Amino acid sequence: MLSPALVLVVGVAYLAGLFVIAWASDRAAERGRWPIINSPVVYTLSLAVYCTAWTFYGAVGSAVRNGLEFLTIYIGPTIVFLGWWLALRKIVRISRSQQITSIADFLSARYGKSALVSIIVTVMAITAITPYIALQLKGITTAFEGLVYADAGFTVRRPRIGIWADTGLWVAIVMGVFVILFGTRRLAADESHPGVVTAIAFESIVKLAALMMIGLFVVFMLAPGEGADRAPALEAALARLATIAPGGEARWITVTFLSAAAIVCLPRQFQVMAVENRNERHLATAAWLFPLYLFLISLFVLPIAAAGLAKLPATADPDLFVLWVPLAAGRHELALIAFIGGLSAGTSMVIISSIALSIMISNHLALPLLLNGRLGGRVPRDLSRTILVVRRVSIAGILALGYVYYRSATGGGALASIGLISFAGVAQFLPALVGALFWQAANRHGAIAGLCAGFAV
Amino acid sequence: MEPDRTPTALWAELRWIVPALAAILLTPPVLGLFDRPVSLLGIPLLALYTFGIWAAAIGLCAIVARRALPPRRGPERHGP
Repeated sequence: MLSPALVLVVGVAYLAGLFVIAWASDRAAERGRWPIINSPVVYTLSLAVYCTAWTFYGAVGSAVRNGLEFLTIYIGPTIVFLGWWLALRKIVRISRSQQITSIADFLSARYGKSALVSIIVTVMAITAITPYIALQLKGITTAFEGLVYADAGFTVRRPRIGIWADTGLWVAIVMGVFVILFGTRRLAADESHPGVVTAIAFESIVKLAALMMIGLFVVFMLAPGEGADRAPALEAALARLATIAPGGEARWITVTFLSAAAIVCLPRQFQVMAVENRNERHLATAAWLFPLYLFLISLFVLPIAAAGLAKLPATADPDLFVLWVPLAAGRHELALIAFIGGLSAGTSMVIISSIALSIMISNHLALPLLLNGRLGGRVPRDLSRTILVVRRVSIAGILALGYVYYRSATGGGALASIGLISFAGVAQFLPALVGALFWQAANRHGAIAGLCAGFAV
Repeated sequence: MEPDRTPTALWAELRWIVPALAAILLTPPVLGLFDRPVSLLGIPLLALYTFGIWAAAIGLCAIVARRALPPRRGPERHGP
């Protein structure tokens, strides 16, 4: 419906803007003139990397399929943040005082610096996060195709394209370049990345603004202008959506619990919450500001879903309602804004996850091997250069792995179900984490046994 | 001994109450009570209830978090 060239130009321009922001704030931070990074608002916005393309497109799709259940993904973290002083403050405090670099490092440090714990956590994290990265690539590609190749009946007629014309591949490559440029520019002892955090905070503003614009458009401009019978149709759709699906009570509790675990255990959340934290007091602001962000981003999901049900053909994919509702109303610029919002949500997740995983891989897998001399026995003289090279290689490797997963699992599977697999994966860290925080006598054998059992399941 | 009824103690208790209440009020047994085909101003009751509780919890947490943080720096110590 939109010309591919237009969508591509806007997408590339947005990513270029992201490079400029990261570059400029990195430079300013090096000169010590970047007060914004020390703001609790930027800290909160960087936490909002939690909302990925899965949120941006998948929440509406999930609302259409399972009613109000999509909210559980946001209610879980909300409860954790409302009780911030119980667990989060302790995690942040310990991480800051012991210069913790990742969740693997955190768990191993709490269990007597056990190398085995950190290796297991790293391998589990890679396994759990790869589908999640693939999900972002899939989300961005599907959105691009939905915007460009959808016909009047909102069926996507995808032309046969070679691998070089695959949007997912290019997104993966551009993200790889971004992360390698800004995630591995230098080696800071505290593993902080001011440029990246600023860019992520910016992306959080973009995705929230984009979704709210679509939502406000649906609520205030779409319904009244469509004749008298449209408003009741919308209300009927809304009433049908705002229920708990039959038998959904148990799932409601399970998913709330899983997402509450994920907000702490996801490597990218640990990275922005604990590793990139500048001041413990920022957490007190994030305690209510982050739930507020989640509240606002889910506020318009139901109206958008209802509008999609009322105005789009029944065969249309609900995961693309965010794009198609404005498109069906002839507002192409809003559809383009929706695409940019989804792009920002997907890229921010890919950026932080690959940084967090590359830190874990280099610190817990590659470096111990190098230092023990098992890789040829040569210990390089300039270790920090080696670490940076290892990180760059592992970032490329993680993205390649995500891309391969996306290509091979590209058939069916709604966005939400792929994401939940990852949530369940990282939730395996929770028992070890709780033990680490509150149980003095917890020992590493128990932690290892627990992690392995969870991984096997 | 008389229980401490100073405002500080009350706020300290609220930090427990807000997340606990949010967890109870935003999960099924209670949530199911509001899952009725009723709507107010075109907004279904369940959506109104969920978002309402959510907003109230955020507002309370904002007030509590502000009280919990004295303007001075240094390790937090509650009570006298």
